[in-house]
Amino acid sequence: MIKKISSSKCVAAIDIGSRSIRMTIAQISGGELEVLDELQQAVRLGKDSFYKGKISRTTIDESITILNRFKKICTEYRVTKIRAVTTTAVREASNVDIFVDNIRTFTGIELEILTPSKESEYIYRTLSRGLKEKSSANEQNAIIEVGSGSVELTIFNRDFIIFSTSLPLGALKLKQTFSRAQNSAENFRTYLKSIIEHELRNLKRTFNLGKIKSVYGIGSELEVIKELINSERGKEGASIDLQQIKDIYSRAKNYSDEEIVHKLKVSHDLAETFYPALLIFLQLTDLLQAERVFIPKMSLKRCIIADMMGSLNNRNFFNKLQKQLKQNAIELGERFSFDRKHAEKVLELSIKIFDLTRDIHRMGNLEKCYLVLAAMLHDIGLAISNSSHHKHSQYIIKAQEFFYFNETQKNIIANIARYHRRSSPKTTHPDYVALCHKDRMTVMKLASILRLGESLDNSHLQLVKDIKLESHGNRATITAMVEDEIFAETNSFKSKKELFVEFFGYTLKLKVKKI
Amino acid sequence: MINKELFFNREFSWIEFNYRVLEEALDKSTPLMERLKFLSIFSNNLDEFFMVRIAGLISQIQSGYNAKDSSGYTPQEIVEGLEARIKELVKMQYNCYNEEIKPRLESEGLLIYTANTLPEQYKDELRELFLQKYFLILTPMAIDQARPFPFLTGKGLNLLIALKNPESAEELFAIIPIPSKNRFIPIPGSEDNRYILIEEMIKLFCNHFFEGYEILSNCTFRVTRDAELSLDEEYAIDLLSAIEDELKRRKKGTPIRLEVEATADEALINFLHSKIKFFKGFDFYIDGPIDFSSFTDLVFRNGFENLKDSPFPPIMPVELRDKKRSIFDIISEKDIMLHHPYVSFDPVVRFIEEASVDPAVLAIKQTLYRTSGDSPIINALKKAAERGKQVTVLVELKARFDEEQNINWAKQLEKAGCHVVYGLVGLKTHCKIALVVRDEEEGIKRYIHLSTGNYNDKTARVYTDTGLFTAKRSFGRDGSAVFNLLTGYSDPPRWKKLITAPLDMRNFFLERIEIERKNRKNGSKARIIAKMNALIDIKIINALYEASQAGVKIDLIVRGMCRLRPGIKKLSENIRVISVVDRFLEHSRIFYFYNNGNDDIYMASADWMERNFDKRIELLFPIESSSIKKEIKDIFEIIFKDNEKVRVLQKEGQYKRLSIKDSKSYNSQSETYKYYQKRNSDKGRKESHLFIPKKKPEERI
Repeated sequence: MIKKISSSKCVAAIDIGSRSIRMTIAQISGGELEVLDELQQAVRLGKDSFYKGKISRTTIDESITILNRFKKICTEYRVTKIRAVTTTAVREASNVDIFVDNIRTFTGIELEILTPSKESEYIYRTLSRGLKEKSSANEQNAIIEVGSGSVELTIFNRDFIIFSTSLPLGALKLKQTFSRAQNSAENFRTYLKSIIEHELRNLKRTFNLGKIKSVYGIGSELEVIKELINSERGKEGASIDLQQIKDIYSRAKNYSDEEIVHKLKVSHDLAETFYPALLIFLQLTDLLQAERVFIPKMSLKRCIIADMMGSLNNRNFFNKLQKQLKQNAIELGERFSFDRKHAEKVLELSIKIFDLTRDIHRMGNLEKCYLVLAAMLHDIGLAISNSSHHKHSQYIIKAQEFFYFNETQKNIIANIARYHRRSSPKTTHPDYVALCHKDRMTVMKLASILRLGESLDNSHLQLVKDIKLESHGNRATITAMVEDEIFAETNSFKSKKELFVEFFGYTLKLKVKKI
Repeated sequence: MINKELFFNREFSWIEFNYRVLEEALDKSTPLMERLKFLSIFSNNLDEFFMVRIAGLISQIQSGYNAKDSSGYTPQEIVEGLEARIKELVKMQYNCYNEEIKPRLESEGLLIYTANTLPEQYKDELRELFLQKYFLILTPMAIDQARPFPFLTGKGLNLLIALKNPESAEELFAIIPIPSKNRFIPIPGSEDNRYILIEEMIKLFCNHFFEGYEILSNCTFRVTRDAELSLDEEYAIDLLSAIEDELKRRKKGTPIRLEVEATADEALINFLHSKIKFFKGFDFYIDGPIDFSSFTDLVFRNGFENLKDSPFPPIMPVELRDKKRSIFDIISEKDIMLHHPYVSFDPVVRFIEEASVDPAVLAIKQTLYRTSGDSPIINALKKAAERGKQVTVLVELKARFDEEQNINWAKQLEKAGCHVVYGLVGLKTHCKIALVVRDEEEGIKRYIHLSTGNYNDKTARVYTDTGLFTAKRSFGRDGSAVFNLLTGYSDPPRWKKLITAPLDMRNFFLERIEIERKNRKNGSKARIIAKMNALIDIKIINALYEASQAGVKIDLIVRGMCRLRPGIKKLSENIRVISVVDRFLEHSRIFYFYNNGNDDIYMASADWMERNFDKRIELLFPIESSSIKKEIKDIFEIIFKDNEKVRVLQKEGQYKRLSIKDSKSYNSQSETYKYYQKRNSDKGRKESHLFIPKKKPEERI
């Protein structure tokens, strides 16, 4: 009997990290994700990047060789999709573009450079999906990802990420920054302590840390710790006793790199960063005063695989993302003392218009998420100055980190916010022309919607309670449900509707209806 | 306690192993042709021992190295000890041939003539044959002032001739290298089974080469040379061509041993002594044909079946008899163990052959250490590559004495489009693993074959080895990782099932031994059974001593060298070491640990030797199927019942056979064969089907 031969359902995720290039090949088998193969080869990307500021030619060539070998393995499994991501080591190299282009030219692999927040988001989504016990709504947990180039801290509750930041405390990077100075190991420790304390003070200023229930520690050094603890207690436990990590830390503190290798059975490539990584993790967990510590088996590659397999994209994803973005915007806005009520009203109205005009603008959930941030933050520039505040909003937004969004996407959002008033997009505006045609049109469309939403709360008094939309041919009418008279809003609507009218070719009328 | 009391010396132990081989030839109850075979194996083993081990000791002596080894002997002392024992054994070997085997062969109608014994009546026809077929291909080399002593390759047989020019009365010597193939020449015009050895024929007619000269005397002789390759792998840009160069050099290795026909006169001997710088003491004067290794040719010819072992035709396991079913479907159902040569090697060939033509197969990967002359596996791999499958073959170029053949394979496979790799610098790839990747309806699925022996269909008929077919995911993951490691595509992963050397195999065994020791110390039952070819590793031996002292009962089935001293009070009194030498070469490596009743069983490509743990890529795999576990335990029981071919190692180092006086004789290899016959008969099949446990969901693949 000849069995039906399937078309392969294998995908591969490649993570180009600071120490090594790793690949995971997986398939969905019997409804479960099955990892078929995992490869890793050491490469000095981090050392190059953090030491010399750029990736050396030798390292580029090595990376190309490794990636071509990995591709050969992919053909053996008939892998259909390969996704390659990279983080700090490549991101921070001055020749990042050359690296990316070399990889593309000589291996055909398109490298995706992840921002820290994007990386945290992947980790969060994979982790939260795997969490068995459901926590209560207001309980907060944290992910601390101790990487070689930076440390990512993510605070989340049952539903979404509340806060996420990238701390410049990567163990390898710190070690290498310090190694340029000629100092003893003892001095390094003092330096390390002071720089960690400095970063943590900054952290406390930017975010009001609440009580943290569980901390999830992620990183190669932490995995070693977990194995050490498990082998000492002879079994695998769910959570890790913080005291045990502290015990290992106090032992490691006095060891040389060689002793760390022999006495703690840490591999050579992790030995030099073992102590700093541990110290950073412990300081952070102390700061967070977590009740429990977990070190889950988690890697960026696995998260990417899960994403590729679509197992992360459940129906609620964009709903959750919107909630999360709104929450982030509130955190940010409050630091700038924004008018929260106005922001939330503009958001509500804009989203409503967005939903009601879907047939006209034909945009999707991703664009809706841009709108969420732009609507919430359109007035944030008022904190700088009333005059030209839309321009201040633009650069403030651009300077932030948001989950899920890359630099271009952030620029789209900043542009939308900017164009909530005054001039419509022009090709003389540098940040606008920086976008590709399609993205510019997205800005144009969303700005036109935001302008409508903003005009309907022009008084900042939240007088419009609800809206309705009716359309016949290319005529549309928005009905504003109000309890009292509105003036500012009707006035503003007249001028602010123009962008929408011009773009979509609709005539737009506002009717006011008392309820 | 000094070292001599703790550890046997490995070379002395090896010699005793070869003596056990010789014993089989000496044993009158062994069928005549098999006795001849054992004489040949004895010779062949000894040749390699000279080329590698003794050569190594000699180079130590010559470089002035004089430290004691862990058993307390200096290289000089070892070489002296070996010389005495080897001379003794070689004498026994030739006595056996001349006094017993040769006369009996003659009485059975198989005659091997020499130049002196060939009856006149055959000479004319033989001369015709010589002149037509051999005269032109032989190259006699005269030696005089103008023509120096020629270079003679190691192991090749030569004829030395003393000549005289009757006019000038000048005396000189000439050498004719003897072709190494087809040594037995059927005598034209005679009955069947009348042979003359090629060198004896050349002796008879060599005057044709030297017309005008008088032949004074002649003798055959042979030089054995150092055959170690010295390679600097790290700096070899192209390993294949580096090894090719080294092989050419090897032929020119230092001479170690000189064997000369015992009838040689003084002039011939003096000449050889003056020209060949063999190691002092290693000159042997042979009363009979030099080099028995080619005598297996006679044994493997058809005829004289009554003088051979009754055949044990390999059994096809019932589960694999249906040729219409895909072997992959069969393996999917359950793990299958193949115990060669009792059980056929054909399924392994079928595994690769089916994979080569199966449209669902995406990739085949396999290691090759030693394989046969016209290997069906290599042909299948080539076919697969030609059909566009991804074929990765790891050819170990440094497999001793198979280097040339393996270079040949490597080139052939590469030409067919296989991805050929040579493994890792400084480590020989000794593990035996084959992996097939299939794209099935449910997704990618992998099939693995792991074995204790080589992918060699010829030796698989003589060597006892165990192989495992499995389709378990965890084995598949590890299998892929093994190849990623061997091809240099990945650093080692965290293994799921397999244990590898040089990474952690020794530690794994030390831990397992320690667990037994602790369990016994805590008053629980503890037991270790280990079967292998050689036990050399000092760390393992010390761990076994400690376990014995704690009271762990340890049975070691070690076919060859063993450095462990069993039965010493307060050291090793709970350890028993036995060795089985019989028609099949015991080669499987199987390890059993009681582990509080878990009956953990593992198989491996490695012996307990430093070189396996530290210098080679080796694999150890666990046996998870309860029916295979049962099978292994049955086999161990059969070996323990043997009283015919089993030898027990004594505390002084000798091996003693058991006396069978009162009990019925019991031969473990024959009984093992019967065991598999029964197991695979219809009746045995029914019985074994009665008690198959229901599979748990996680066991399903």
